[in-house]
Order: sequence, then C-alpha cells, then structure tokens
Amino acid sequence: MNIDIEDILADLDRDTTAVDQTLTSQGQNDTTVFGSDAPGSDKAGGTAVSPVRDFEALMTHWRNERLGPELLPYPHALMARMLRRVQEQLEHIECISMGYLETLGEEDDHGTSDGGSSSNVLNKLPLLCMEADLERLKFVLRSYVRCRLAKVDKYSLYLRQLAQDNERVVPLSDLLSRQELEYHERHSAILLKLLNSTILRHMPPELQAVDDNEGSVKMVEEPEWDRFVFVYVRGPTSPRDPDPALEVGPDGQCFYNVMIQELREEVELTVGSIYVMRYNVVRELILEGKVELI
Amino acid sequence: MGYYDIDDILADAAKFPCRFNYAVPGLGYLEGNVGEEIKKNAKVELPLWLARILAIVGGDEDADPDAEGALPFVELLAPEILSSRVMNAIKSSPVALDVHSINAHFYALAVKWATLFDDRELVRVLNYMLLERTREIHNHAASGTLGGAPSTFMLTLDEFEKKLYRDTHSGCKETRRWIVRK
Repeated sequence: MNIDIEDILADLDRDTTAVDQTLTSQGQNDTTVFGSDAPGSDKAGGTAVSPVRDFEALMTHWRNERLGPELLPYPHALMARMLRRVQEQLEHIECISMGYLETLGEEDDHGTSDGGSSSNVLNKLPLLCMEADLERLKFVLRSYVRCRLAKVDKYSLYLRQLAQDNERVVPLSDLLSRQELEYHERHSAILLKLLNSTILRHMPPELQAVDDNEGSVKMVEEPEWDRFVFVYVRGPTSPRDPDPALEVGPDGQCFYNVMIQELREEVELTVGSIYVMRYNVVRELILEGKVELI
Repeated sequence: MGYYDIDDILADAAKFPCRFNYAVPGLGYLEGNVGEEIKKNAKVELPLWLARILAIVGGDEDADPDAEGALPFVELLAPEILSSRVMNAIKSSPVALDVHSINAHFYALAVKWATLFDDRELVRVLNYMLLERTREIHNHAASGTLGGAPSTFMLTLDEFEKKLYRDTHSGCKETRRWIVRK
C-alpha cells in the first residue's frame, strides 16, 4: 500500500520555496556585505544572474584558463558585470566608512566612552569583511587577466593567423576582450620591430618571415591540443532540462560518451568523477560547461 | 617542441652518421676538406636538423643517372644511441641505465627518430623505459632531500627527466611546506 506521492510533495515544495526565495533574497540584501555583492546590482540580479553565481562562474573560468592549453573565449557579459560590481562595492565601502567616521564623531561628542567603543567593534567587522572580500575578488580577476595575457603572448602568431582566417566560427573579438586585442596588436608590433631591427634585416628576403610554416620547423606555435588535463565531470548545468548528450548507463549512472580519435576508443565520463584526459577529447564539453578542469 | 624551444634546438644539434647517395661538388666542407666535392658513399656525421631534411629531399637525377629519382641525398645510418646494445640495456633494466652518458637529449632524439622512421618497436621500448624510470624519479623527488650527496641515479637523468624531476620535486616540497607552516 505504498502510494508514491513524491511529485505531489515536490509541487508543495515548489510553492513554499517560492515564498522562501523572496525571504532569502531579502536576507541577501542584508548580507550583501559578506557576499561579493554591491547594492546597485540587485536591480540587475534576476533569477539567472546573481552575484554569488557570477562569482562561481568566474572561478570556473579562472580554473579552466589556468589549466587549459588554449586561450578560451572571453566571458564579455560576466566580466562587465564583475568589473561594475567591483567599482560599486568600492564606492559602497567608501560611503560606509565616511558615514562610520561621522557617527563616530557624534558619539565622541555626547556618548559615554564604553558605548562608543562597543559600537566601534560592531561597526568594524562588516567593513573588514567587505574589504577582505573585495581584495579576494580582485585577486581572482587580476590572476585571470594575467593568465590570459601570458597566453596572448605565447600564441600571438597563432592568433594572428586565426584573425586572417575568414572561415572561422568564432571571430577574434569574441575570443579576446577589447583591451586584450589592443595588447595583442601592439605587443606583436613591438616584438616584430625588435626582431626586424636586430636580426631579420640581415637575413635573405625569403627567410625574413616570422610566421613561416613551410620550413623544417613550424614557427607558429599552436596550443598543445593533446595535452593531458585533469577534468571533473560536472554534468548538465541545470538538473531540470534533459541533456541530449547525456546517457544513462545500465547501473543508473549518467555519463557522456567521448571518442578518443587516435586510439579509436570510447570512454564514458561518469557525472561526478575525475579523469585524466587529453584536452582535445573533452574540449567541446569544457566549452559547454559540462566538464571543468581541476 | 616549439620553434623557440631551447632544448629542442640543442637536441637538434646532435650529430647522426649519414652516408651520401650522390657525389655533390662543393660540399666537401661537411667532411672537413673545403672546396672539394663530397664523394658518393662518403660517411659524414651531420647534425640532425640538416640530416633530417637531406634524408627526405630527393637528389636530382642529372647528378647521378644510375640512381633512382626518389633516392634522397643522404641515408641515415642507425646511430650509436639507438643501437641494439642500448636497446638491450633498456629492456634489461631501465633504471640502472645511464641515459645521460648516452646522450643528454635521449628522449627528444629518440622521439624524432621514431617519427622519422615510424619505428613501432622503438616506441614500445621507450614507453616501457619512461614508465619504469618515471616511477623511480617520483620516488626520488617525493622523498628526496636535496642536501645530501646526489645519488647515482640522479646523475643518469637526461634533460627531459631532469625537468620532470625538478617540477615534481618543487611540487612536493611546496606542498609539504604549506602543510607544515601555512
């Protein structure tokens, strides 16, 4: 006599969580000081976009960029949101600390000394947390951008080749941010000038190219597509909608099927597990966010 | 193995024994006598970056009408570092082998050779050798205190293995330091 009422319970749950969500979102407003949030971003924060989720996405991008061999596409919208929040939070902290000074001054004027010191302690902690959190976020952003610049340096000839190639799916402006594009252009111009003026002008004309792939050794360095990386199989981004690439095995576990070309071998990437895999095998899954590098 | 890889450039400078299939005038300086022609079947030691190209590119038929058109300028002879003596030594005991005394860039050269000739047997032996030696390298790197006298095994590493050892060692050391005092 077991009646399965789980879907009814889930229905009820959804109703209550809908109420809860408003509660928690109100709570978030109070605790914005602890998150990487800024007061102004609440307007932009819809259901899909929230500061916490953005920070998680940024961490994933950061890890993938640090560990992957190629230069990944630049998350334009995410970075724009993040940079705006940093700015707003910075101003927010400034405002609070100014107000803090004012109240402190008033208390000094006509408050008792112990009352002043206790509110002093009370007021300082959130400010401290906000500053530390901002520093943390800024560190990640800086490290991310630095890592990308290092890759732009390394693959500058390859990127230039990509830019000339018209049949590409992703244009270079999607791959790089505006600042990175400018860095790329000017840095390669400077490098070329140095090479030209020191060595290349003494060479015979047919040996003066710096991107010659016809010679015995290729001069344009491509990313190491077949480098081994550690991957964590995260599964589909939202559990609701079914993923066509996802398959269910005989023992009920979900996995992605990937093909290793050179060995002609199929591998099942079970959701929630860790593998060492060649990068070109899992590249598509990484770009779709179903798998992340660790 | 990029274009600007310094280790790759150094490895490419290793000399390989070659035999010329043609008599080429003017190339005598490869043998040491400048201004003269190089004779057919002359054995010369050429650096790999030169030998690799000459072993692929075919000579022109006018120089030697008897030869087939497809015959390349030089023929690469089996080098000392990949002789059967070395192969047997690898098969018997990879860990005891003094790779550094055979050649400082043993792996790089062996890989180049295997790519050039599609030598499956060599690849198999190298795989076995690398796996065995990697285990030993990891042991040394994880336990090793660099203060003591370097063990004899450390003196037998080739350049690639040295890099591997350095990376592993620093990784282990940093982790330990982080665990002990934050």
